[in-house]
Amino acid sequence: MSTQPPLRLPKRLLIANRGEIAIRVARTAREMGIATIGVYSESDAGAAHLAHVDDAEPLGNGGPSETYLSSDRLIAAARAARADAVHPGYGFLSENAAFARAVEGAGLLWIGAPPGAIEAMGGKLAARALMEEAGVPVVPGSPRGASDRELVEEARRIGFPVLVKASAGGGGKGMSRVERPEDLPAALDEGRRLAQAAFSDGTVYLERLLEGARHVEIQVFGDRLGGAAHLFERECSVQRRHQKIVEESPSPALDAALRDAMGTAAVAAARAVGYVGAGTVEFLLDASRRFYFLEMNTRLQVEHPITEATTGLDLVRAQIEIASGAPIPRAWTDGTLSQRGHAVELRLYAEDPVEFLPRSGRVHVWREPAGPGVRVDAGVAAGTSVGVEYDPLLAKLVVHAADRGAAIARARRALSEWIVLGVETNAALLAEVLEAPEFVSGAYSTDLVERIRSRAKEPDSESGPPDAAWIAAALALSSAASATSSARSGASTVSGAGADPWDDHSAWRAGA
Amino acid sequence: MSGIRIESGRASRTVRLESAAADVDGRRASIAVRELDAWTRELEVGGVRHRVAWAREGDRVFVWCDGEIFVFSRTRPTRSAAGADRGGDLRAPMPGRVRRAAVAAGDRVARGDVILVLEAMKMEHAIRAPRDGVIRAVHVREGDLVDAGMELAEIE
Repeated sequence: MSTQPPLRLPKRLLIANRGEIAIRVARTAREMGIATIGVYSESDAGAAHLAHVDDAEPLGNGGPSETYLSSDRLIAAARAARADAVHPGYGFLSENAAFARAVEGAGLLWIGAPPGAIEAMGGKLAARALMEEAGVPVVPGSPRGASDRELVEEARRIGFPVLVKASAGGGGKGMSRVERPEDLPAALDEGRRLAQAAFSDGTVYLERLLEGARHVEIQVFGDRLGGAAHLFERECSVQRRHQKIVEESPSPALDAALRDAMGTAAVAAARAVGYVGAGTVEFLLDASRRFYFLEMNTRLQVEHPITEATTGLDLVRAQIEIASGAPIPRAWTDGTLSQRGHAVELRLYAEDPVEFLPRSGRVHVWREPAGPGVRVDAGVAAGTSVGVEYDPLLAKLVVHAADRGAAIARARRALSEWIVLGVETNAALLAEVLEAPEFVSGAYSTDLVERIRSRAKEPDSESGPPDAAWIAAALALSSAASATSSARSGASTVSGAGADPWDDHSAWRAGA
Repeated sequence: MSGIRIESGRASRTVRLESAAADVDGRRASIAVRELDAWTRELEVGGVRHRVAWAREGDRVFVWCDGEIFVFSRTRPTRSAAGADRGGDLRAPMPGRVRRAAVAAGDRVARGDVILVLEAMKMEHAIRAPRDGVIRAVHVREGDLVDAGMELAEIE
C-alpha cells in the first residue's frame, strides 16, 4: 500500500464491543496512531477492555440488547466522543446492516462489510441461492419458501439424518439434527421458535448432514476498487455444540490444488456480493474432498490470529486501511504471499467440562502462557468477574511454529503454563484434543470432540487428580493456609479494574 | 489432626496434614512447600517435586498442579435424608435467565415433563421433572436471572 497516495485514516475510532476483541482492535489502532474509544455497559464498568483504550463512553444500564446491541446508544456514544470511525469487532452488531447504515448515516467510517453484502449473506437461504448462481457449490438442501409438507418431502429426497437450520442463524443457534421423518415436524416447530426468539426471523430450512465432514474456511478481503483476494484457509473442525474450540492453519486436509480451488470459490463468493473488508467463507469438506459453501461471515472472525501468524499480516490494520480506501496489496494476488509455518488456536471458555454449560465466577488467579511463538488475546485479567450475560470466551491462545508437530508441542507446553483459578474452564478438554490420536495425525472431522468424550467414559472413575493436587487442596482448605497460593497478597496483576481482588468478597479469606 | 474429606468430580479422598507430612487415603509421604513466584509454589511429596498454585472460594478450591487444573470441594455431611432423597427440589444446573416457565403451582407433572427452560449464552436448557408429582411451588419467573444451584421449583 506504500505506493498509493497517503490514506485518510480515521483519527478517533470507537470500538463497539467488549472483551478480547475490543482489546485486539485497540492494540492495532494505537499502533497506527489512531485514538481509541471503548464503550461499556454499567455492569462492565471495571471490565478488562477499558484498560486498553484512550477514552471510554458509558452505554448505560441494562442487558446486551440495551447496551452493546443498541444502535442508538452506540451512535450517541460515538458522537459524544467525537469519533470518526466505528469498528464493530465480531458478534453484537458486527453483521447488522441497519447498524452499518446508521454508522455511515452519521458520517462515520464503518470498518465492516457493506450493508448490502451483510444482507445478501445474512439470510442463509438467499445466500445459498446467490452462491449457486455464482457457481459456488452448496450443500444439498431445501429451497426457499417450502411448506412443511414440502420440507418433509425434501427431507426424504435429501436423506436422513438432516439438519434443521435457521435462515437468519449462526453459531449453531436454532440448529438441530433430525434422524427420523416422524421427528421432523416437531424439530421444525422448535427450530422456528428458537430462530424467532434469537433472530426475530423464524424461517428454517433443511440441509443434508454430511457425516465425517470437515469445516474449512477461507479468509477473504475485498476493496472499494473491486479487488478481492484470499488469505488461505483455517481448519475449524474441532467443535462442541457446533462452536469451534480449536483451529489450525494450514488445514491438514488441503493440498495446493484443493487450497487453490477453495480459495478461488471463496473469492467468487465475495465478488458475487460486492464484498469490501474482511470476511470469511465457510465450507464443508467431505471425505471425498468435495467442498460445499456453508455460509459467509461478514466480519472479522474469532480465529483470525492463526491467519495473522501464518501470513505475518495484521488483519485489523488491513481492515482499517481498506475501509479508508486502500487497494488490496498486490502481494496478496500475485502469488508472493505464502503460508509460513503452522499455527494453532485454543479457545478458553468459562464452562463446565462435562456438559459445556457456561460458568460464572471471579478470576482469582490468572497467569498467561508466554515464550517463543505464543500469543494470548485475553478479555479478562486477575480480579475480573465473569457473568452469564456475555459470551463465555475468556481468551484465545495462539501458537506459531515451523511445522505442525512443533506447533502442537508448543500448544501443549503453553496450555500447561496457563494458570486460571476461580472459574471452571474447558482447559482439560483442550489438552485432550491436543493428545487425541486423530488430532495428532490430522485425520479428524467435526465429530472429534464426541469421539473423545465417548472414550473418556470407559476408564475407571477412580483415577482422578494426582496426590499432590489433593494435598494442595487440603493445604488451601486448612485454616492455617491462605486463600490463594500467593504469598504476597497484594501481588495482583489486575490491569483494568483498578480493584484489588483480595480486598472484597466475603467468601474470600485472604491469609497473611 | 483429623483428616479433611475432599471430592473432585466422582473421586474423593481423605487428606491428613501434619507439620511435614501428608496422608492421602492411607498413603503417607513427607511434604515440603517452597515459594516460587507470585502464584506458584513447589510442593515436594515423598521427594518428588510438583509445581502448584491454588485459590479457594469457601469450600471450593481450584488447584493448578504440574500444568493441569482441578476443582475440589470439601465434603460436608450430607443433608437430612428428607431433603436429599426425595429429589423434590429442582435446582439450576448453570447460571442463566429463565426463558420459560412451563408449569405453575398445583400442576400435576409426569417424570420427564419440562418444568422450566433456562437460557445461558447461545443455548437453552430444559429443566425436567425428576419424577411424577404435583408442583408445590415455582420460585422464579420468566426473565429472572438465576445462579447455579439455586432452587427453581419444588415437586411433592
